[in-house]
Amino acid sequence: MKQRKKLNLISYLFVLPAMVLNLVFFIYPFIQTVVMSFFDWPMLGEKTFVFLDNYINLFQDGQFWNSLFFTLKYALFVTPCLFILAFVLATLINGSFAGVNLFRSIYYAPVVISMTCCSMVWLWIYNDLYGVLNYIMQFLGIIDEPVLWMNSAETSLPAVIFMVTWKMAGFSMLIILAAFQTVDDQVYEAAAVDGAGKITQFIRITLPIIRPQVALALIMSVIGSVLAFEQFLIMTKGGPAQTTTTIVHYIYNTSFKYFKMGYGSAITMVLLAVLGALSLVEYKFLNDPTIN
Amino acid sequence: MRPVTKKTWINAVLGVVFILPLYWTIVTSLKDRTEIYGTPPSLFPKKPTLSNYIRIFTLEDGLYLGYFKNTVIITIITIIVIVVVSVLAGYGLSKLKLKGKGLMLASIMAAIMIPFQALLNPLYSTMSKLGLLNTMTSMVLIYATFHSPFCIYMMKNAFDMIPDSLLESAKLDGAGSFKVFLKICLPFTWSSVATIAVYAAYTTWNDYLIALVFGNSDAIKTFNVGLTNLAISQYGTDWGLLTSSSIVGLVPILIMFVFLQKYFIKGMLSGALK
Repeated sequence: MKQRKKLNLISYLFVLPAMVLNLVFFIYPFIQTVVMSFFDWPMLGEKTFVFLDNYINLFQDGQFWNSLFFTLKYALFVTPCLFILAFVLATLINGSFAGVNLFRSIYYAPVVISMTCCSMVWLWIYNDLYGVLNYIMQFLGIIDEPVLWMNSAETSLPAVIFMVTWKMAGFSMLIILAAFQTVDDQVYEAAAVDGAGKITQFIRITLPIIRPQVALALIMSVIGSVLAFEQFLIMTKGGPAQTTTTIVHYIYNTSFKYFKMGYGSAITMVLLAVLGALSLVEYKFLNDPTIN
Repeated sequence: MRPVTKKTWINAVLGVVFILPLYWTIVTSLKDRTEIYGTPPSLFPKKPTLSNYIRIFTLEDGLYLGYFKNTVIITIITIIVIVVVSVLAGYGLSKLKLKGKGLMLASIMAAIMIPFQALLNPLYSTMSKLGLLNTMTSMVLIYATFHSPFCIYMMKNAFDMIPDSLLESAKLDGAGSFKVFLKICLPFTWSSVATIAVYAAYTTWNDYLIALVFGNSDAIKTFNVGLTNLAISQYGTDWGLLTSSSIVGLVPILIMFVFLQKYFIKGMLSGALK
């Protein structure tokens, strides 16, 4: 039976702080982005209404397209790398054996370290003169000359992807591991009785059951990659010749280096559209009844 | 005792490979300048020295040490703000009768979906209008706005688990609404509170972009920003100082990770649903 309750003013005090923050620093800026994107707005000067000019300029801005494509390219390459490693790690730490908790912690530890620290540490490893990687590769005879890893997009992109894979694989590993453990052991036993081998079991039983969680982790990884910033700002500085500038990096440059707030907002709108599309996919998976 | 199996050995090899970058950082931080730039690189420091760590304290009359202090202050304040805001809102959205609750929940979910990276530019002009540019307050407000929605969502779920009948009987016994919240409901949710505190600490301590845009004056710079400034200094990169600072920056979070692993992983796993 429902009891009749009076609306109590004190009740609203509970949600007030959260709602004030949400309104002032989320909803209002969000609306402002939309409005600003129609203005020419130098940070210190007068703003003028230019309607769609920013968007038209965006279409002709080669640097914008470069950064958008670069970001998507990065997301496209880093996600499979992350997942292959995450799957391997999750398989390796699934089960009960000596040291399993220690190994879980080791693989997960880089996730909790900041991207800034990780980028710095790897920049040192990749250093062309004193870096340990060039030394090891020369020692093993893989390369003759030290490679200038950060000097061209051809070498810096794989280098950054390698670093991010090391840093973030533990996160996807955990999701996949949790998914592994939702599969009832009895299913495997039944399959084994029917003569199914380990690989058949994995493809026919495990994969279909954990598909929703894997899909979710995939989208998380893609969203994270679309927002990439620190790793490129620090490791490649977006260069050479802005070939490794991500979309967030480009927004940062436009707004805070060249002080074009209106134009920066128009780029932000594109980023929001990309994120919105990804979130829609995510939302579909969240509402999938097969995910609990 | 768990059995030592083939898996243990494969993991041991892979684990060592995984740890190598961190090992290399520690080793570098313990070397002196000549050894850092010596070839071939030495895998153990020949003459271990703490000079790189000491320099953190003395550099530019303690200015650099101040970056660490700033980060600690900002992180602690942010944790408090996020926990208070999230616990209150989580309770309100779960257990209280409010008009427009659906709309409030929708705006919370929207803030989970849209990250601060996408709203950098208008946030800057909002802070500028409020006269909060280059203050710790602006950073705390932004962290609280963008990291509390997920925490509110977690707290709401935690409060949802408490049966309404418990609240009703407490009210019949004459407990006021705030007392019901504080004495009856809150004690049930301590593990969730711990999780969101850890989540807040982790995200704030590791943040770079907000600190870069909103905290660019020396007085409030965080160590992450200070670290990158070091790397891009005009005198070339000081790898000894850089590696020792990285270690100092990651040790607190790793210690927290070791002791609060349960909450850490729980928080990150739920964060995956973000």
